[in-house]
Amino acid sequence: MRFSLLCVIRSSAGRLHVLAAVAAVASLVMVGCRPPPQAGPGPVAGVAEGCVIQLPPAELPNAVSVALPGEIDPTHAPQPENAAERVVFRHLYETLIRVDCRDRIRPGLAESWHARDGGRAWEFVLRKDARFWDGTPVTAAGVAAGWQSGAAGTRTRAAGLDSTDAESDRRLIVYMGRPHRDVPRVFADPGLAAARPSADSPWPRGTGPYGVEGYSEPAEGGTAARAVNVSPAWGAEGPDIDFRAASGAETRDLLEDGVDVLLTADRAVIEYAATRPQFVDTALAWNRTYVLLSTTRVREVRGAGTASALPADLLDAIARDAVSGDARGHRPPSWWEDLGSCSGVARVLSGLPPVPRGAYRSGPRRIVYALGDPVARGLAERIVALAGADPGGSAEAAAFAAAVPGLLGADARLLAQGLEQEEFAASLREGDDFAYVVAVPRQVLDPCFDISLLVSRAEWLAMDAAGLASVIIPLVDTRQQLIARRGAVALAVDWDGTVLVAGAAVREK
Amino acid sequence: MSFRARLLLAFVVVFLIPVIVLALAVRKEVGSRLTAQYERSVASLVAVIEDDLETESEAIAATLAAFKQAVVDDNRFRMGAVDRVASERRYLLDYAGRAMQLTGLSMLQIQDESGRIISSGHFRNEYDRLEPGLPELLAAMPGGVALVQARTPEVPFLALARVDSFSMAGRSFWLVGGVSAEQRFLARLAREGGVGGMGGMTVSLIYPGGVLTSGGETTTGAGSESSRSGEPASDEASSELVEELEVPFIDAARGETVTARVRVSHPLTELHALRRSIDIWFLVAVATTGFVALLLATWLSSRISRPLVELARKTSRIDLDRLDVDFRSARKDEIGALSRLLGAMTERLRASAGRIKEAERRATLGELARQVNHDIKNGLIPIRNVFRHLERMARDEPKRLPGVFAERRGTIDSSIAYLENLASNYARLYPRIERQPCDVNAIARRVVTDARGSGPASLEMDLCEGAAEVVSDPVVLRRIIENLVDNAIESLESRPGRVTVSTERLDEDGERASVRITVADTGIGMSEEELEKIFDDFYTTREGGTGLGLSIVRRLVMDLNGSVKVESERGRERGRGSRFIVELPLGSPAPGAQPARGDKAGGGRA
Repeated sequence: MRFSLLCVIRSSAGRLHVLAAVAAVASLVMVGCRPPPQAGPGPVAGVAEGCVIQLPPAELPNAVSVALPGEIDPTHAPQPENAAERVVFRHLYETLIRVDCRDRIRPGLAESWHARDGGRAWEFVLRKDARFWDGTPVTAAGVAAGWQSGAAGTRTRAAGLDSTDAESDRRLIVYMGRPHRDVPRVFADPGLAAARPSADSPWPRGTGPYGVEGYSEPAEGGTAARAVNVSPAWGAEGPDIDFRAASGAETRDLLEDGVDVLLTADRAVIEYAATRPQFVDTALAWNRTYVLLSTTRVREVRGAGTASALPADLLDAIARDAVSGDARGHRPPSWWEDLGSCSGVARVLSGLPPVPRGAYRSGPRRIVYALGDPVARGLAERIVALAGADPGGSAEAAAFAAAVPGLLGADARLLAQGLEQEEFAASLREGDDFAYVVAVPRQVLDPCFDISLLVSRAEWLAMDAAGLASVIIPLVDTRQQLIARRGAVALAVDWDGTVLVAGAAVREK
Repeated sequence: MSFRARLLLAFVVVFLIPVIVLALAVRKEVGSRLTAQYERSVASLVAVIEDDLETESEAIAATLAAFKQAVVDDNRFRMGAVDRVASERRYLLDYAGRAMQLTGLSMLQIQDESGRIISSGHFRNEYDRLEPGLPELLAAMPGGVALVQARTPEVPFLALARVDSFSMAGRSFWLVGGVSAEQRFLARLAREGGVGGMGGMTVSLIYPGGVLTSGGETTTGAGSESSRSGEPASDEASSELVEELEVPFIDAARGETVTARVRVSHPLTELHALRRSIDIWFLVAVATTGFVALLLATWLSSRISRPLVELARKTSRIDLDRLDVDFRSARKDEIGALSRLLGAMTERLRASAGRIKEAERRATLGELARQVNHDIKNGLIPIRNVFRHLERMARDEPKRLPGVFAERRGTIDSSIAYLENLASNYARLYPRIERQPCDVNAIARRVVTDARGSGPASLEMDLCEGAAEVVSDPVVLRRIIENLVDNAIESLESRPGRVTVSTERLDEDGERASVRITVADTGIGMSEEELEKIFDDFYTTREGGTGLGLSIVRRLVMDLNGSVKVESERGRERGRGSRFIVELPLGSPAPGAQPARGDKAGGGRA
């Protein structure tokens, strides 16, 4: 069981009741049964049944305004790095296959596929009409070449792709490191979407239903845009979409300024929207899990020691009191606890794993998080607060002390520290600090693929599957809320809860 | 140590001592005045800080009182804190943070009666922490205010905090609030103290956890640093002026109150810089003064010692053969008097030397007479013997007389020749000076007349009017002038030039009158080295010269009790040449220059 997508319509009138229903359904999902999403709107053309959040209006609008909880950086494309980029890039770029919200494999850039050599190689036949935004035909060699560059290269290695062969313009053979009975889901990973660098724009050209029409100038010294305007690309239909970043008090103003769709985790905004009858509020799936990666815990586990887990009620209390946004204590199972068949992990383990220096560092110790992530910040600060408490008088402190070796009792001060993205990535890679609060996906396409990606971000984590399962300390799950103007636009969700304006799914047959 | 060195040393000391004394006095005075000014500034700032802390404390108290009222009136807070309604828990947890933003406090936490933090503004997620000691210790503080170290998720900070309390539904709650006492707070205190006073002061907060300064420097673990309290302190070696103010500090972790210190320090770098500047300028002044003193001393010592050196040089030249050194001086000072005394002494030496020479001459003449007697006898004895032989032959054998005479005639001739030769030789031994009044002008005129036409030289005369008579042998006088004129003509080296012979009467006050004979040429002149040796025997610069002409002149002039000197300048340009100046006494001969009677016995004139 790899997916626990949950879509619930939450009206302002019966929100609590609906939440209760959501919890019940979620528990069913967690025990392995895959119920269909809660009763939603009726069918939408091109969208899988059950994946529609909102039906299309009687008359399609010319443009839709979507507010997102963050900026959009074209240099990240096609691999999203935050919730806003996940939404935008999903409209712009296309993977070979797609996985819908009901975990079904759907054609994407490839219209068909079949296994070769007992599942060690997979042949994909590209869509006949596949073109980039500018009308350039997509070729198999072009798709394979896009996988060789930068971040995509890292992802193809993590995905276990050995090599590719473009038999013709439309026929791409991908050789895998191990046999797959079914088509590997990693081909639906956004990072492996087809994209071609553009000489006159920072935006790589994609094959998705939308193309970039315009974007706001990045702030000085930055590359991220606060607004991106996209319009239907070659052969596609649908309304233009204005994506814009929203944050703080301004977010509520957007609701008054005619925004059609708003994605947020801000409780104040959600409460405000609930008072506006023209908006409907939908809780999306729990799609992020914040975990604590402790260098001392890795040291302990490697030394054949044991480290206890954190009790669920404690995590719920932390999610309730310490974290901003919509959060809950993490609910098992966790995808990293099911790594037994991952040959990819074994590959990561080849060679001696690096020593996490943070476990042996003297002086002030830091629990670090990425700046701009309020959930991670709240968690880090709560752990620091507990580290200063008397474990004899605080069950929370005692539980954390048992889970994180060296958290209490050390003379060196413990502090929470937010780091810029690059600095954070560098520290995480080397294990330079005491512990890290990191967000990982709640749902993954392939646990082996995602654990490989995580270990490539934090090499000091490399160990066997059982060790990995025990060193990752899950804390809380989070999700976004979708606030949509009633009847303004058709909305659907993807396999990981990413929201799609219905026009983005027109090719899904 | 030479006279010049002593003079230099004396000058330097005399100039430098006042400069040094002045510089030290200025340095000390400036230092003491600035230090006093700094002390007043530091004391003022300490007073201002004391007032500021009091004002801050009152402002915190007023804020907490207002906040307390707001809390009591807030139903959602009541539901969260008293009724523990779960839906209001987040509101409760965020309550202190929102209030802190509104009140401007840097630290705010609400604790229940057990000391449990139910809401914290500066560390939002520190909720549920038990900390009963802090409000109790704060409440026990005189004035209710103290420094505390407020925890945050990142770096703890110091806060000036107060405590207040309120009751709600029969339960007590503490309000602990305060303002940051970090670098900006200290900088503000320092800035306020600096207004109207002197800037550059630093306010530091020394507490058990470390030291904070208004300049932004932070050190940890320096709280045990010893310090002087209550009185400013500074000395030459210290780098700052310090005064301190004690403030209570609550160490909540240990549950005790200790003393922190607000230290006001004024860096003495400005004073040190001023002192260094004074020192540098002092050194410059000393060096300049020393240099000027050295120059002045050198100039003065040169002025003083140069004539002395000159006198010493002239004196070193005096010996019995050279008593013609000119010690005349126009100076009116002691050196002039000394020079004239040396001149008089030389004059007396010259007279004495004349007498000594006379005595020597007489002694020599006696010896010479005996030698002449002996030599003449040697010449006469053969003649006498021949005559005795002829007399005997005339008496005994007259017939043989012609033959014998013829035989012995050679002996007589040779004896006579011997005697004649002897006479000639003795006549050449010494010129006989027959002293008589001689007109220098007449002799000079004759010499010049005879010399004209002997070469390309133009001979001119510039003779004084009237007769200029000296007592001398006219032959000697002519020889003196002739030698000088010949020397002058030869210095022209067969090229056209001018030789001028001039005479001049000298009637010096208190001195015996004399005549000056000057023979000047426009030749190549002489170097210093040549001037030193020009009157030495056998010294010549010309090929084929005997080197005796000028030495004879000098000797003859000395015999006439006169003096001779030469002035010359060697130069590439002709026309400068040399000037030989002979001065001979006019009128009656000098005591040592009386013509000796024995001179005639010397035979012949030179």
